[in-house]
Amino acid sequence: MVSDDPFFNSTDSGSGPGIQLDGRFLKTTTNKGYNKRAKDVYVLPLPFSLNSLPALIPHNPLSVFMYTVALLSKPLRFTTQKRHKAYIDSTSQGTPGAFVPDLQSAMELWQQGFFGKGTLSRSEPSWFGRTSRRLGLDGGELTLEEITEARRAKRRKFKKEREQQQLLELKQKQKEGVLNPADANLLDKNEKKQIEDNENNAADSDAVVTKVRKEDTDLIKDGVIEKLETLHLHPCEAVFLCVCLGVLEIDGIETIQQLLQTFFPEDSDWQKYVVYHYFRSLGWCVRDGIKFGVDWLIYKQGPPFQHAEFAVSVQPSSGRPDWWWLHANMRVVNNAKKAMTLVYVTKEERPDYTKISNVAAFRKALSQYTVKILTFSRFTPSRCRD
Amino acid sequence: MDTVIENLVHQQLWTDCKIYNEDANLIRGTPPRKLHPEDAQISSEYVLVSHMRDSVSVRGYTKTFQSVHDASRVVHAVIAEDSTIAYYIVYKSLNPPRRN
Amino acid sequence: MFTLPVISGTVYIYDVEVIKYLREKYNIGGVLSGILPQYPQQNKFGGLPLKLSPEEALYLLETNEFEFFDDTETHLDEYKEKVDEDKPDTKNGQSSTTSNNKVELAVLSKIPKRSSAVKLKEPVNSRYAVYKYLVQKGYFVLPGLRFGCHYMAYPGDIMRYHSHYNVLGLDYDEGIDLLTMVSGGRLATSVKKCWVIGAKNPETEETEAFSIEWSGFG
Repeated sequence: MVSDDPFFNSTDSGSGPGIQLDGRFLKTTTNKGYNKRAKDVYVLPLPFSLNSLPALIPHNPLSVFMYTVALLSKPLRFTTQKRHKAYIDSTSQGTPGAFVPDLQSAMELWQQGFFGKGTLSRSEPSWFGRTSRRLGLDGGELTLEEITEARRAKRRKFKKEREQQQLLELKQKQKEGVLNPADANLLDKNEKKQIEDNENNAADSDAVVTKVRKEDTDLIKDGVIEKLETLHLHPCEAVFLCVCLGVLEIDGIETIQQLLQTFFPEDSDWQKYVVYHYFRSLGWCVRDGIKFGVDWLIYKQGPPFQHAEFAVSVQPSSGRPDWWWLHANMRVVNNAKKAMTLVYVTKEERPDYTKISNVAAFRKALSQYTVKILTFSRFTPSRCRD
Repeated sequence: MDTVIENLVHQQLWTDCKIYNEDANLIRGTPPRKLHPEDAQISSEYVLVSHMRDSVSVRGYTKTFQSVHDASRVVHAVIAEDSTIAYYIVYKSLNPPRRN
Repeated sequence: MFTLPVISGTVYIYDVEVIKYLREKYNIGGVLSGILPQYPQQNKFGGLPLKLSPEEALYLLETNEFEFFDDTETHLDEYKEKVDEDKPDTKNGQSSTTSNNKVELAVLSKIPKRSSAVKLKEPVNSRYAVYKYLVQKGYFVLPGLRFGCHYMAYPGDIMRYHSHYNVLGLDYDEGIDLLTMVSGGRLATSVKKCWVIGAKNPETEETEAFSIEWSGFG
């Protein structure tokens, strides 16, 4: 995904690879550098640290010695897990899920399992760095949003150039007298538009974005911007972190029963959770799939490493998806090079939350449900001959 | 609705965003660039806010367009469960798709 | 007055002149659902007969310019004949050739058996209103199952343009999941079309339609 991006090879100005963004030249690392960094940063698959002791080989005295030292040097057998703090949006039209205000916690939850989404970013909570850079306050490394924005800016420029090229061709045809009526119309329209543009002084749309607005200056206090962004956790992620891993504390939620009643009011919510839990327990990284019209996207390691392989849609076991919907969804998913997967949860009703008072009861309730998976792909006889 | 205003202002870089009609879930603001390539200039736009759990119907859209008398299009902001906001443009009648 | 054969509730047209007429005057395309004998393995273009969808048939019925008749009997007779021919000829010790497998299309519509009560398959009511609205506006409308929508609307002859709109015809109050809108809008924009939802207002009897596309940001 990153290797054929033209920006990583462009040398418009400055030395080394970089991108043009809002008139500035920003250096980026090479493709290799990016991947190498990813492996260093995203080490833990879950926000859970284990105390690992070295291997014990009984007949090897050195090994016994190392093992005893490691065992005795830790005061407690298991370290206490760090508990991240979150709160819920209790307004009437509140967004479901939990919010983690602390930036440090947010980054840890993101880097150790890709939980949550920055409220002002596309995925990783990078708004602080991005905005500081945009307002000229601080350096730092380039984020995904900036790379995407630069790519879109380049595409807009390309479209403009293409349009001008076509206009020139039409004008040439006009000179030669071989213009047909449809093209003549187009030429007229464009000429009118150019006159209008000049009158309205429509600035280059990309340059407009660099202007600092009142909304931006309001954020700056003592040379640093306010930390507006929080990490938003999907209800399923919040329950998983809270109940199964025990690393999340939610303000205002005391019992598991309360948690389930707040986050999973409907049967369909519980079914979605069963599927989330299933795939997480198998080691997949599970993220929300609204961008592709499905419930979940399944990643092998995580978003920075590879694109998702599967797009999962949760279906009630008695329901039959509409053919129209299936075709539309399959099309979207296939265009994004993923496999469309339908997952059926065999029991439809959610459990009685009042009976779930502890983790053991939660586990028991969860084990009542089984999951059946069906993967679809589109078969075109003319193309799939093998 | 505040979630969308915050997102528009700080992530999408819109300006002058205010609640236009609370009952109809409408916001009014100005985007950083033209919404459609064939527009003459940047203009203020209406934004309809919904949650993913809501549903939309033809009657619903007709009502929305009645609240914004002069507009021929409305931006529809859909808030997903993971707080992603997807933005779509809804035109009042059959409008040809833009050239890519 | 043209005649249109109906078999089991669906209109199948074998006459090329009729097909041309429908296309030019009514913007009705239909679907070529036969197989070309010379190219049996390909499936980009079909051969005769042209099959009309329930909406197209109903639309033509309302014009009162066409007469529908039941052609089922002729088809059954032809089929029976072919089955008999293919049985091995035991007297000569030779089996008959399979040359008769090529369907003589012109023959089938030679002997129409007129029936007074021809039953046509009915389209879904709400969808038909939207279909009619589009055709009357001059669009060429084709089935849209490939794209997960009810219809695809082209601004002119399908051979000359790519489709502009993916259309979903609905009841006025029928709610669509926003997840469906998101995927419909996304799909349409990725293939350079607009996703359209339309319905007939039961109070004003007018059809209203809205076109939706991805905004390009967010």
